[in-house]
Amino acid sequence: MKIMIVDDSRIIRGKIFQIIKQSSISKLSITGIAKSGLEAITLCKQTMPDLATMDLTMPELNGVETISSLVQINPKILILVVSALSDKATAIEALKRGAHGFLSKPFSDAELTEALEELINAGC
Amino acid sequence: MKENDIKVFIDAIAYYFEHITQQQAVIGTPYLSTGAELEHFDYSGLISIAGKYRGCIYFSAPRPLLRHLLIKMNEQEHTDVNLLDMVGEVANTLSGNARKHFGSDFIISVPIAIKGNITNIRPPSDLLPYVIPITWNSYRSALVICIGQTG
Repeated sequence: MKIMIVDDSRIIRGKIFQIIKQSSISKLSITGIAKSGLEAITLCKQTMPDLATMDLTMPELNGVETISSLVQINPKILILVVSALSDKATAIEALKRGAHGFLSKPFSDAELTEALEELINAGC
Repeated sequence: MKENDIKVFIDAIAYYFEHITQQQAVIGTPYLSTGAELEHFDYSGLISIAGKYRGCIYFSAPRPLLRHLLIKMNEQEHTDVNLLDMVGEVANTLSGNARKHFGSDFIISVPIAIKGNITNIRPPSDLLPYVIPITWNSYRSALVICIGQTG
Protein backbone atom coordinates (compact mmCIF):
# COMPACT_ATOMS: atom_id res chain seq x y z
CA MET A 1 0.00 0.00 0.00
CA LYS A 2 1.17 3.50 -0.82
CA ILE A 3 0.98 6.17 1.88
CA MET A 4 1.30 9.95 1.70
CA ILE A 5 2.23 12.15 4.68
CA VAL A 6 0.63 15.60 4.89
CA ASP A 7 1.67 18.04 7.61
CA ASP A 8 2.98 21.62 7.63
CA SER A 9 5.41 20.81 10.44
CA ARG A 10 8.75 19.48 9.24
CA ILE A 11 9.31 17.81 12.60
CA ILE A 12 6.00 15.98 12.52
CA ARG A 13 6.51 14.93 8.88
CA GLY A 14 9.89 13.53 9.88
CA LYS A 15 8.49 11.76 12.91
CA ILE A 16 5.67 10.11 10.95
CA PHE A 17 8.16 9.13 8.22
CA GLN A 18 10.49 7.48 10.78
CA ILE A 19 7.66 5.66 12.53
CA ILE A 20 6.34 4.22 9.28
CA LYS A 21 9.83 3.23 8.14
CA GLN A 22 10.62 1.51 11.43
CA SER A 23 7.20 0.04 12.06
CA SER A 24 6.10 -3.50 11.56
CA ILE A 25 3.58 -2.38 8.96
CA SER A 26 5.55 -3.87 6.11
CA LYS A 27 2.71 -3.32 3.67
CA LEU A 28 3.34 0.43 3.58
CA SER A 29 5.59 2.32 1.23
CA ILE A 30 5.84 6.10 1.50
CA THR A 31 4.90 7.56 -1.83
CA GLY A 32 5.13 11.24 -0.99
CA ILE A 33 5.38 13.91 1.67
CA ALA A 34 3.40 17.15 1.42
CA LYS A 35 3.73 20.25 3.57
CA SER A 36 0.45 21.83 2.55
CA GLY A 37 -3.01 20.91 1.34
CA LEU A 38 -2.25 22.15 -2.17
CA GLU A 39 0.91 20.03 -2.35
CA ALA A 40 -1.08 17.04 -1.14
CA ILE A 41 -3.61 17.44 -3.96
CA THR A 42 -0.85 17.58 -6.60
CA LEU A 43 0.92 14.60 -5.06
CA CYS A 44 -2.30 12.62 -4.84
CA LYS A 45 -2.97 13.13 -8.57
CA GLN A 46 0.59 12.04 -9.39
CA THR A 47 0.96 9.02 -7.12
CA MET A 48 -2.60 7.94 -6.22
CA PRO A 49 -1.80 6.81 -2.65
CA ASP A 50 -4.02 4.27 -0.90
CA LEU A 51 -3.59 6.00 2.44
CA ALA A 52 -2.76 9.44 3.83
CA THR A 53 -1.99 10.94 7.21
CA MET A 54 -3.53 14.40 7.31
CA ASP A 55 -2.85 17.42 9.50
CA LEU A 56 -5.75 19.86 9.82
CA THR A 57 -4.19 23.21 10.73
CA MET A 58 -2.28 24.18 7.62
CA PRO A 59 -1.89 27.46 5.73
CA GLU A 60 -3.55 28.10 2.35
CA LEU A 61 -5.81 25.07 2.30
CA ASN A 62 -6.70 23.45 5.62
CA GLY A 63 -6.85 19.72 6.22
CA VAL A 64 -10.64 19.42 6.17
CA GLU A 65 -10.85 21.03 2.71
CA THR A 66 -7.92 18.96 1.53
CA ILE A 67 -9.69 15.75 2.58
CA SER A 68 -12.64 16.61 0.31
CA SER A 69 -10.31 17.18 -2.64
CA LEU A 70 -8.35 13.96 -2.06
CA VAL A 71 -11.55 11.92 -1.87
CA GLN A 72 -12.71 13.44 -5.17
CA ILE A 73 -9.42 12.44 -6.80
CA ASN A 74 -9.35 8.98 -5.24
CA PRO A 75 -12.64 7.91 -3.62
CA LYS A 76 -10.94 4.81 -2.14
CA ILE A 77 -8.21 6.67 -0.28
CA LEU A 78 -8.03 5.96 3.46
CA ILE A 79 -7.31 9.08 5.48
CA LEU A 80 -6.01 9.22 9.05
CA VAL A 81 -6.30 12.69 10.54
CA VAL A 82 -3.31 13.46 12.79
CA SER A 83 -4.05 16.76 14.49
CA ALA A 84 -3.97 18.75 17.71
CA LEU A 85 -7.53 19.80 16.92
CA SER A 86 -9.35 16.93 18.57
CA ASP A 87 -12.67 18.53 19.47
CA LYS A 88 -15.84 16.68 18.55
CA ALA A 89 -17.05 19.18 15.94
CA THR A 90 -13.75 19.09 14.04
CA ALA A 91 -13.59 15.30 14.15
CA ILE A 92 -17.15 14.95 12.87
CA GLU A 93 -16.49 17.43 10.05
CA ALA A 94 -13.33 15.56 9.02
CA LEU A 95 -15.18 12.23 9.04
CA LYS A 96 -18.05 13.73 7.03
CA ARG A 97 -15.59 14.92 4.39
CA GLY A 98 -14.17 11.43 4.02
CA ALA A 99 -11.58 10.79 6.75
CA HIS A 100 -11.59 7.32 8.29
CA GLY A 101 -9.68 7.77 11.54
CA PHE A 102 -8.48 10.38 14.00
CA LEU A 103 -5.28 10.54 16.05
CA SER A 104 -4.62 13.41 18.45
CA LYS A 105 -1.27 15.20 18.69
CA PRO A 106 0.97 14.67 20.54
CA PHE A 107 1.17 10.99 19.65
CA SER A 108 3.59 8.18 20.42
CA ASP A 109 5.16 5.76 17.93
CA ALA A 110 2.89 2.98 19.17
CA GLU A 111 -0.25 5.12 18.89
CA LEU A 112 0.45 6.04 15.26
CA THR A 113 1.34 2.47 14.32
CA GLU A 114 -1.83 1.17 15.96
CA ALA A 115 -4.01 3.80 14.27
CA LEU A 116 -2.53 2.98 10.84
CA GLU A 117 -2.96 -0.75 11.39
CA GLU A 118 -6.58 -0.25 12.39
CA LEU A 119 -7.19 1.84 9.29
CA ILE A 120 -5.57 -0.69 6.98
CA ASN A 121 -7.47 -3.57 8.53
CA ALA A 122 -10.77 -1.69 8.36
CA GLY A 123 -10.12 -0.69 4.76
CA CYS A 124 -9.27 -4.16 3.50
CA MET B 1 -10.69 34.02 32.98
CA LYS B 2 -11.60 31.53 35.63
CA GLU B 3 -9.02 29.33 37.31
CA ASN B 4 -10.45 26.27 35.55
CA ASP B 5 -10.02 27.93 32.16
CA ILE B 6 -6.36 28.64 32.83
CA LYS B 7 -5.90 25.07 34.02
CA VAL B 8 -6.90 23.83 30.56
CA PHE B 9 -3.77 25.37 29.07
CA ILE B 10 -1.52 24.33 31.94
CA ASP B 11 -2.73 20.74 31.63
CA ALA B 12 -2.19 20.84 27.86
CA ILE B 13 1.45 21.88 28.27
CA ALA B 14 2.05 19.39 31.08
CA TYR B 15 0.55 16.60 28.96
CA TYR B 16 2.64 17.60 25.96
CA PHE B 17 5.94 17.38 27.87
CA GLU B 18 5.02 14.13 29.55
CA HIS B 19 3.79 12.51 26.33
CA ILE B 20 6.72 13.58 24.15
CA THR B 21 9.52 13.16 26.68
CA GLN B 22 8.17 10.80 29.37
CA GLN B 23 9.44 13.41 31.81
CA GLN B 24 7.08 15.57 33.80
CA ALA B 25 7.31 19.35 33.67
CA VAL B 26 7.18 21.23 36.94
CA ILE B 27 4.47 23.85 36.93
CA GLY B 28 5.31 26.94 39.00
CA THR B 29 2.94 29.31 40.73
CA PRO B 30 1.11 31.53 38.25
CA TYR B 31 1.45 35.28 38.69
CA LEU B 32 0.10 38.41 37.06
CA SER B 33 2.70 40.21 35.00
CA THR B 34 2.84 43.92 35.60
CA GLY B 35 6.04 44.60 33.69
CA ALA B 36 6.09 46.81 30.62
CA GLU B 37 7.56 44.01 28.51
CA LEU B 38 5.95 40.61 28.05
CA GLU B 39 7.89 37.69 29.47
CA HIS B 40 9.66 35.72 26.79
CA PHE B 41 12.63 33.47 26.06
CA ASP B 42 14.42 32.75 22.74
CA TYR B 43 11.43 31.33 20.84
CA SER B 44 7.69 31.72 21.30
CA GLY B 45 4.67 29.94 19.82
CA LEU B 46 1.55 32.06 19.89
CA ILE B 47 -2.16 31.83 19.16
CA SER B 48 -4.49 34.81 19.02
CA ILE B 49 -8.04 34.65 20.29
CA ALA B 50 -11.10 36.54 19.04
CA GLY B 51 -14.85 36.18 19.42
CA LYS B 52 -16.49 36.08 22.85
CA TYR B 53 -12.97 36.26 24.28
CA ARG B 54 -9.99 38.25 22.99
CA GLY B 55 -6.26 38.25 23.55
CA CYS B 56 -3.43 35.82 23.07
CA ILE B 57 -1.75 32.78 24.58
CA TYR B 58 1.85 31.83 24.02
CA PHE B 59 4.48 29.37 25.13
CA SER B 60 8.01 30.75 25.26
CA ALA B 61 11.16 28.70 25.73
CA PRO B 62 14.93 29.02 25.57
CA ARG B 63 16.90 27.42 22.74
CA PRO B 64 18.39 24.59 24.90
CA LEU B 65 14.94 23.40 25.99
CA LEU B 66 13.68 23.28 22.42
CA ARG B 67 16.87 21.56 21.24
CA HIS B 68 16.29 18.93 23.89
CA LEU B 69 12.69 18.48 22.73
CA LEU B 70 13.93 18.05 19.15
CA ILE B 71 16.29 15.32 20.33
CA LYS B 72 13.36 13.60 22.03
CA MET B 73 11.53 13.78 18.69
CA ASN B 74 14.54 12.11 17.00
CA GLU B 75 15.24 15.29 15.06
CA GLN B 76 18.97 15.82 14.60
CA GLU B 77 18.89 19.22 12.85
CA HIS B 78 18.61 22.01 15.38
CA THR B 79 18.24 24.86 12.93
CA ASP B 80 16.13 27.94 13.53
CA VAL B 81 13.49 26.51 11.22
CA ASN B 82 13.17 23.39 13.36
CA LEU B 83 13.30 25.29 16.65
CA LEU B 84 10.50 27.53 15.42
CA ASP B 85 8.62 24.49 14.19
CA MET B 86 8.97 22.88 17.62
CA VAL B 87 7.64 25.86 19.54
CA GLY B 88 4.87 26.20 16.95
CA GLU B 89 3.81 22.61 17.58
CA VAL B 90 3.43 23.36 21.30
CA ALA B 91 1.25 26.35 20.38
CA ASN B 92 -0.71 24.07 18.06
CA THR B 93 -1.47 21.83 21.04
CA LEU B 94 -2.64 24.85 23.04
CA SER B 95 -4.92 25.76 20.15
CA GLY B 96 -6.42 22.27 20.02
CA ASN B 97 -7.11 22.20 23.73
CA ALA B 98 -8.63 25.70 23.66
CA ARG B 99 -11.04 24.69 20.94
CA LYS B 100 -11.93 21.49 22.75
CA HIS B 101 -12.65 23.29 26.03
CA PHE B 102 -14.16 26.57 24.89
CA GLY B 103 -15.84 25.50 21.64
CA SER B 104 -17.20 28.28 19.47
CA ASP B 105 -16.58 30.93 22.16
CA PHE B 106 -13.00 30.99 20.90
CA ILE B 107 -12.01 31.94 17.36
CA ILE B 108 -8.41 30.82 17.25
CA SER B 109 -5.74 31.92 14.80
CA VAL B 110 -3.30 29.54 13.14
CA PRO B 111 -0.31 29.27 15.54
CA ILE B 112 2.64 31.49 14.74
CA ALA B 113 6.22 30.98 15.87
CA ILE B 114 8.49 33.90 16.73
CA LYS B 115 12.22 34.12 17.36
CA GLY B 116 13.53 36.67 19.84
CA ASN B 117 11.65 39.71 20.97
CA ILE B 118 7.90 39.63 20.82
CA THR B 119 7.56 43.38 20.68
CA ASN B 120 5.15 43.19 17.75
CA ILE B 121 2.67 41.30 19.93
CA ARG B 122 0.18 43.72 21.41
CA PRO B 123 -2.13 42.08 23.92
CA PRO B 124 -5.19 44.09 24.97
CA SER B 125 -3.90 46.98 27.08
CA ASP B 126 -6.64 46.55 29.69
CA LEU B 127 -5.61 42.98 30.49
CA LEU B 128 -2.77 41.77 32.67
CA PRO B 129 -1.11 38.59 31.41
CA TYR B 130 -0.97 35.51 33.62
CA VAL B 131 2.49 33.98 33.57
CA ILE B 132 2.86 30.31 34.44
CA PRO B 133 6.50 29.31 34.97
CA ILE B 134 7.26 25.86 33.58
CA THR B 135 10.46 23.98 34.33
CA TRP B 136 11.34 20.90 32.36
CA ASN B 137 14.62 19.05 32.72
CA SER B 138 15.99 22.07 34.63
CA TYR B 139 15.17 24.48 31.76
CA ARG B 140 12.87 27.38 32.56
CA SER B 141 10.10 28.39 30.17
CA ALA B 142 6.77 30.17 30.44
CA LEU B 143 3.18 29.88 29.41
CA VAL B 144 1.60 33.32 29.11
CA ILE B 145 -2.17 33.77 29.00
CA CYS B 146 -3.63 37.17 28.26
CA ILE B 147 -7.32 36.73 27.59
CA GLY B 148 -10.44 38.61 28.59
CA GLN B 149 -14.08 38.70 27.63
CA THR B 150 -15.02 40.90 24.68
CA GLY B 151 -17.16 43.91 25.37
